[in-house]
Amino acid sequence: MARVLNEIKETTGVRLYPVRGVCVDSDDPHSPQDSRVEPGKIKRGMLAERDPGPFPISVTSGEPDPTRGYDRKRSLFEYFLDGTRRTFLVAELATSSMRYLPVLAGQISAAVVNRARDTGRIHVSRHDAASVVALPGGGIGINQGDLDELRDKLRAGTRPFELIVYGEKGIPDSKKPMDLAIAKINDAMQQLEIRALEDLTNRNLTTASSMLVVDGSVQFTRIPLENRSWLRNVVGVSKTFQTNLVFTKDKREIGAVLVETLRSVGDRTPAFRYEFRNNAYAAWYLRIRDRKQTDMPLSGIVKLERLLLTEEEFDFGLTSDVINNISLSILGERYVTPFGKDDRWPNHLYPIYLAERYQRGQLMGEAQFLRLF
Amino acid sequence: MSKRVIGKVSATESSPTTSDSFVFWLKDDEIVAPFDIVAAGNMSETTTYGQITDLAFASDSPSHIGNYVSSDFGRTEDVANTPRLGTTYVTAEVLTNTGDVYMPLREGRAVSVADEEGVRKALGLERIRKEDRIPAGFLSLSSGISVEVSFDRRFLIGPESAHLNVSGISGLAAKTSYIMFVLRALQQRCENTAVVVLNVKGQDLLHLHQPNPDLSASDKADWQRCGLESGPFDRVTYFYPFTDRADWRYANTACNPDTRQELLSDGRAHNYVYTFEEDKGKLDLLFSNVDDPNLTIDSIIDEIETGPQFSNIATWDDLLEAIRQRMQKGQASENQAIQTVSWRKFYRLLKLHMSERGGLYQGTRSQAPDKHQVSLSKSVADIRSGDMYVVDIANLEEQEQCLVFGDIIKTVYEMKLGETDREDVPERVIIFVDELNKYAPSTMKSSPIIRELLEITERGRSLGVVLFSAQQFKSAVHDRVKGNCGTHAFGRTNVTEVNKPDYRSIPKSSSNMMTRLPQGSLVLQHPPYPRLLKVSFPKPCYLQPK
Repeated sequence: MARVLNEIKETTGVRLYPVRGVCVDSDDPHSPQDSRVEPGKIKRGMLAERDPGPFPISVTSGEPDPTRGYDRKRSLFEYFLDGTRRTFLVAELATSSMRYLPVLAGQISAAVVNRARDTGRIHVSRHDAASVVALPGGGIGINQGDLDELRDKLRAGTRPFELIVYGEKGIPDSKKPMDLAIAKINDAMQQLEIRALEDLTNRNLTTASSMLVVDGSVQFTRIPLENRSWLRNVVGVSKTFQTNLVFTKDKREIGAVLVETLRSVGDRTPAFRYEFRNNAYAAWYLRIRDRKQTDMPLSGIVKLERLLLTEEEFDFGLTSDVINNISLSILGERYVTPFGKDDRWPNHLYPIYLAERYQRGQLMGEAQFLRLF
Repeated sequence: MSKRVIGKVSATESSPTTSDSFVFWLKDDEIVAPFDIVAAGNMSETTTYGQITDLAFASDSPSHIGNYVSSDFGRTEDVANTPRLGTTYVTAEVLTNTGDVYMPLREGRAVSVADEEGVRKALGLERIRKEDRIPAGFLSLSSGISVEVSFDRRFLIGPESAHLNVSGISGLAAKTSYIMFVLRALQQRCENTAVVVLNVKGQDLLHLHQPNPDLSASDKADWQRCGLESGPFDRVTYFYPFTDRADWRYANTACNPDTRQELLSDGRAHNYVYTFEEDKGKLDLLFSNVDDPNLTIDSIIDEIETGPQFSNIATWDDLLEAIRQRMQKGQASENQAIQTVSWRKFYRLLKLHMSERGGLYQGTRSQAPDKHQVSLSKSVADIRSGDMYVVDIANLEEQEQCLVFGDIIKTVYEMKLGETDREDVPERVIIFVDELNKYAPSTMKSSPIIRELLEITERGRSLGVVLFSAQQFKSAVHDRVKGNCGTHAFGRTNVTEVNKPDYRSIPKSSSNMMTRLPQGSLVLQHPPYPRLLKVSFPKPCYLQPK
């Protein structure tokens, strides 16, 4: 295969202006993982937990050691899913309608790791990866026929690429073309994660006592409604989250609530309910590290999410036992940490960190990848 | 090539593979050890063999603080749900490649434990001609494989290289046992070779002709694996220093009385003496380890040998008397450079040996059959192929030991130089001495014995005079003497020793390993071997009195 940019140029005739590969991934480790949640759509005062009791709730019931008894043999978690991407601006192009738009390329990947109950060793259960190139389409971009022809050529190469088209429905003035392209690549990555979820479900690997932890939110918008059961035994854990969401009627932003109330390890909020694209979720926040051990006020607090799947869950929420047991299993994941390797160490779950690291190790080197263009 | 894969080659920016070495990560449940041999596929369908030199375990924690934090800031009670990521990575030095391809191994190549055939290939053992193979012990790998290792005769006893030196702590290193194993192998494999062994301690080597009753069936099987018989040494003759004491049967030896009597009676043992007539020219050897920076003793001995005052002397007592007169005040000498005080010192030293320790020095050799007196040098000069002479010097004073050892090496050297009428001189004569540092200390630049030893170690390999030697600390031996040894064996030693310059050329991990070697294991350095080998060897085949 000719170099990818040549292929694009030859197939579509578009005027391309190569860029010395610039990484466009956000390096901000504190950008929220639950950014899909729209603050305005939260119905305040809605809980997804039956009889949560006084707030804050201690999941440890005053036990001096909050993790005791929740070793890996009793832990609810056996699988951990993480997705990763590495995205570059590789060229800019001028379309026939004289729009000047970015060409992005990247490597996307999703991995599920399994932790052996007896030894604690981590093994890769499933790993999917792909190389992608994002081009503008629709009315402002490249001709659809040309894109279809290009898609086939890119797939047929010795190093296949998936073509991702952004801006098919136009590019609103409020959005940057670059952000749209990145969002599309992110969707593709999520698609790999969904494929993994489907596989785990089909193989009956996840159960109520062998759950899957997903890095970040469980809002997999691309899962068809009829396949929501893929998320039955899945818990989302966000290391970073929006702090200005308002769940309570007193209009306090969640950041203010957490910093004031979750003081001890094992303290949690009740499960709040919110809905997003016909799905309802339970979300609660849990302190997993002592405030004194962390640098920032909200460090050591993670956000947990579960899809409310059954009719009963949808109507009445989860029981406190379910939430507490999930929370205790999360507390059991506090050791070991990637301290010194990742700024988010107080909130990072080590198996997730390992899944991420595995994927990074599988990615083609930056120079080697950019040489393909 | 064995297919049991134990890891994969790991090449990184900071630690690339090279023509000489590579690193591989090890599967979690595998156990390997330094000196093990591994194999990995290289380009052109070839196999690269490597020897493990170092093992390290690394976790993904960037610091100890990270580990402390990971235990919830110092809690010792908890066990991590997910053990920290870590792996053992192994450094291996390239030994050989089956197709002479020395391209660095590529990242991710599977690494396997070498099988027996692979080990032989890796070590070049198959390149040693069958007729030149002298058993050197067994190489035992962590995988359970045990391979017989051989020396190449041409590099062990000449002519390509020669001399064997063994070092290590007494008792733990099994130095003597190892050399005796090699000598037994040589006795069985090399017909035209004779051996002279010096017994320096107790009864250690005074029962070489007797079988070891403690050899078990498996011990004997070890000998068989080496292709050797486990019986005692053949054609052993003992030489004890003579003593005046009839109740000791005139033998100044630690050998038990029954054995001594039996051996003396049937002519397999003799008592050696030094007579003035035959041995006056060896006085310099007696003073070998006396520090003589101004060569005063040399001058005195020279005057004794050539001066008119010493021309009519027939016995050691006459010599003492002549020296006594020489050191009287007013006696003139041609050599005015020797001061009277030097003569006095020389007299005192000589008298200490001649009169106070009677026995070894005789006026003439007695012909009384019960005294079994012989001249050591004449006996040694008559050694035949297949003979093993054991010269007991254990009960002698240190200077007398120097005399005897010096006498032996001088005699053998002269014999091999052709100063004999014999036509059946053995092709190779091996001399084994323990405590080499006593005769060739690193602190002494030159002495009569050092000069003789240098002759042997520097020129002996072509003449057929071979030195097998041992000492506790290699660093204590004269540089040129040990430097000329082709083959070295290292037994257990201590940390101070391995930090000496002698061990600089040895990889640190290997020299450190020498401080942990189990008894009966040695590390070999032999010219045909590409790297150091750790070997064990069969138990001694001869009686070792407790």
